[in-house]
Amino acid sequence: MKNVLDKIEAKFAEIRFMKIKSNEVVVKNGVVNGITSSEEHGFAVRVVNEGIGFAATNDVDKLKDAARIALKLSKVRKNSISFSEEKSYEDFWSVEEKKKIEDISLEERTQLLLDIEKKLSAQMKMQSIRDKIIEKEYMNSEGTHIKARIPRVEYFYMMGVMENGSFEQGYRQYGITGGYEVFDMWDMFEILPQEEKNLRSVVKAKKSPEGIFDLIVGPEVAGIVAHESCGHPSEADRILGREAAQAGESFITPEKIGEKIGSPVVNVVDDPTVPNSFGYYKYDEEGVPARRRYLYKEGKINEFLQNRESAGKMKLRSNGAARSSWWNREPIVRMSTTFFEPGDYTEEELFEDVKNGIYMKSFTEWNIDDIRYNQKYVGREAYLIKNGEIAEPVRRPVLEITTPGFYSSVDAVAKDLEFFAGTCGKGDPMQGVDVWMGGPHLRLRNVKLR
Amino acid sequence: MDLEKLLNKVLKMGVDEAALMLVERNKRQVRFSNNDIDISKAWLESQIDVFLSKGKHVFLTTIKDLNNAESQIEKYIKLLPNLPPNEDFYGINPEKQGYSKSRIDRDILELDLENLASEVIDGAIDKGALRAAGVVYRDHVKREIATNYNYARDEVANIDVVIRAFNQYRNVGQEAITTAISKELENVREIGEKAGVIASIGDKPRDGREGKFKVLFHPLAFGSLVSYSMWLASAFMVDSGMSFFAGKIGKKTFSEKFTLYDDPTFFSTGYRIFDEEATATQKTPIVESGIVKNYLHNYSTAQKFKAKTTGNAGIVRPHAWQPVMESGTKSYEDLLSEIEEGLYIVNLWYTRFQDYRNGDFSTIPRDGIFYVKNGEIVESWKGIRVTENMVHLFSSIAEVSKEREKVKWWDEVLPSYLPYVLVNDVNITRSTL
Repeated sequence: MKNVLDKIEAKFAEIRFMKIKSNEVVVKNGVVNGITSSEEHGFAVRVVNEGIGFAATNDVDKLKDAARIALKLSKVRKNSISFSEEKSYEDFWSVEEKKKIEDISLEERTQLLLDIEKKLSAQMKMQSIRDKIIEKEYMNSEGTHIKARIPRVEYFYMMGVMENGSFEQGYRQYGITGGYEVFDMWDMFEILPQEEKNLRSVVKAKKSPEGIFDLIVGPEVAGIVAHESCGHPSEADRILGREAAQAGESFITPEKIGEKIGSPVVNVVDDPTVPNSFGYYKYDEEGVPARRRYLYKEGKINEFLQNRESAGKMKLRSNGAARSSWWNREPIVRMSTTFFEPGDYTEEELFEDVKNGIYMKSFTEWNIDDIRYNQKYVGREAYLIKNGEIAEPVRRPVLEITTPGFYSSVDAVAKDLEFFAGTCGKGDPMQGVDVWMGGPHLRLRNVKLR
Repeated sequence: MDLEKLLNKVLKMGVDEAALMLVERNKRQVRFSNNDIDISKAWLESQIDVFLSKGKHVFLTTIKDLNNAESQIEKYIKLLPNLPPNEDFYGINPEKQGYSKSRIDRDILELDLENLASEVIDGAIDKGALRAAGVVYRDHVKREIATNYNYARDEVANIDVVIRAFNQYRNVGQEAITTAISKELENVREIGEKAGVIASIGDKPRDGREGKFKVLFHPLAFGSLVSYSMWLASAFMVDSGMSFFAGKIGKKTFSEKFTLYDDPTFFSTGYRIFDEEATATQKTPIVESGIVKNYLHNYSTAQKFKAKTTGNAGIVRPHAWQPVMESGTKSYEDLLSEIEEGLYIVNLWYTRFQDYRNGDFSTIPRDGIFYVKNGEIVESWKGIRVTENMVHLFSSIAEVSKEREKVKWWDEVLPSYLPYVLVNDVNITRSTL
């Protein structure tokens, strides 16, 4: 690798090697549908001159070809590009697995899913376990050389219940950077039967009422909101238009730093260093150290997520947000763990001041436009709040709201904090990266629900 | 690599059935934004997709280290007897297959992608766009498959051209075409011009209104709805119970104007002659004149559903190759002129279901949302959402155009060949704060 890198004549060059061992088990309605296991490795060469050239191969004999092609492709841009200047680092980092992936056989993983399923009577059930161990080595022409070993395990379920011709569905993902201790952190033998119970309750419930209500959202909803309407619009490559034809742009423009986006109690951060988080990393995919970023601080737009390309264009420094999902993908600006920082209310204090409201504990359908301004969240588990108490369940409350509308309506933030796993999609070709998102309970005043 | 020789060795290692598919891929991509190229990419990749079974014990893997394929497969075969059985597995297709001829337009391989990118950008700017972003993407794939029962190979190449053009008010136009025919890219500038025209029509977009509207969907927008529906037409999803197609075979479910095929025999980007268990591909009616005719099957799901394979393996999950809709008799202009008050929507994204079983979903219009009055586009809109039920929407199709376009976009729209589609009573909602 070093020999090939040294021979590339360019403003900047890097080579990344990744070796990935992965496994997946899928169980659907009690039947083991798929068991997949694979090992792969590959190299990606990225070269910067006038523009950026990128070439990837899984054949070590073609690494020199890839370097030659990337160099050639780096010279086709009209306006010259420059990466931000960064320090060089040499390091090795890894994450410990308390229950090692390689100690858990495919049979044990499958049996675990079948045992969970035995606890359920929902008519439609699908579950999967995926794990991977990534070993990587990164080096660039400025002397950075980082090696890493990253294990990740994730569990996914989808469930549907039918009652008198009425249907309700739910799905969730749990994941960590670590090993099979993920099943000690979340007890699926408790969580899934409870989810089934909730769905059976909701499927019989009345449609949520329409009108103006105070709304309390649970950590799962806070997490998706933080990810979709704070994390994504704060990605500098979107702000600069680099993703315009795919994932879109942002309602935020570079000059909006410091502008009000919400109430002063709102603080949203993105932090790759949260221990064992699903998107955990110590150095990003350009060898820049990871750190916490305050995206919205005290209700104001505060900082963008940057890689070296976007930071170079904005004449800033990278804040370590470059990620690539696989060995054959370019590093682009990504989130890691995005969440509302907890406030100082207890959950009881949050509820006791609501006379007539809705509690949206979790969500099902959601979407947001490509500048991250108009969004929708439909409640999965939801209840009426009457005189400060959680009352009867209601079905599918719908919140359609703008980004400033949501963040400006938050008047109180609870002390609790929970994280949820997700796979965030962006880039072309598509890159799904592992993330966490989360937050505490949030209270919003006077929002329209239907 | 001699794939048949490797298969023979594998079959002597104690498996009942095996499917080995060697895939060699040479991909190129140019991404651009703000009227300039951001990055040019190339991939040189090869892999073997491996399926192994012993009785109902099945295992899948992908091998990237081709030099050690045999030893890796041997290692996996040792795992097979201890794995729990897949009771839904009925073997891979044992019938001897006859294949269509592999087709490739080799001139596609000679096209200069950076030049294509420059041409489409210039086209958009010429028609009034301020800036343009997009991608030119070429895929060149050689596939070879060997199973106990069949052997086949093919080679395909295709190009996607996607351009998103913006005016000074961030009004957007998009074109996202795909083709396997080089001649269709002779006037690539026109693709950019179309996007530039759409971006320039609306001037400054206004906040849209809620209500029920007659909507004319561009093939790209309808492609998003069709692509998500094709995923739910897979027998895998129907079997799970999570599909609005479940229980609808033979039933008149949608508008009689709606006829939808999966057609990998149509020569475009989704063209292929065999599936992942070496079944010859075919044109499969999913919906004919509103009646649900078939789900997408591999050999095993077909056995379970007492049907015939449609050549859509995925050995575990059948999936669509290339949606194609039947065309109508009226032109796009005729359909637009039939709108007394309604909308013309160019693209959709972020389609999400709150109820797969019944088809309740919402999706967000983008890249051209126009308010139409008395058959004329009068203004551009922003900030609206289609909040609908898929069965209701497909039942409300009033007309489809005689023109069809080859569209494909990112991970939202499969390579498809679709008309403009006019739909009655589409529910539009928007944010209220």
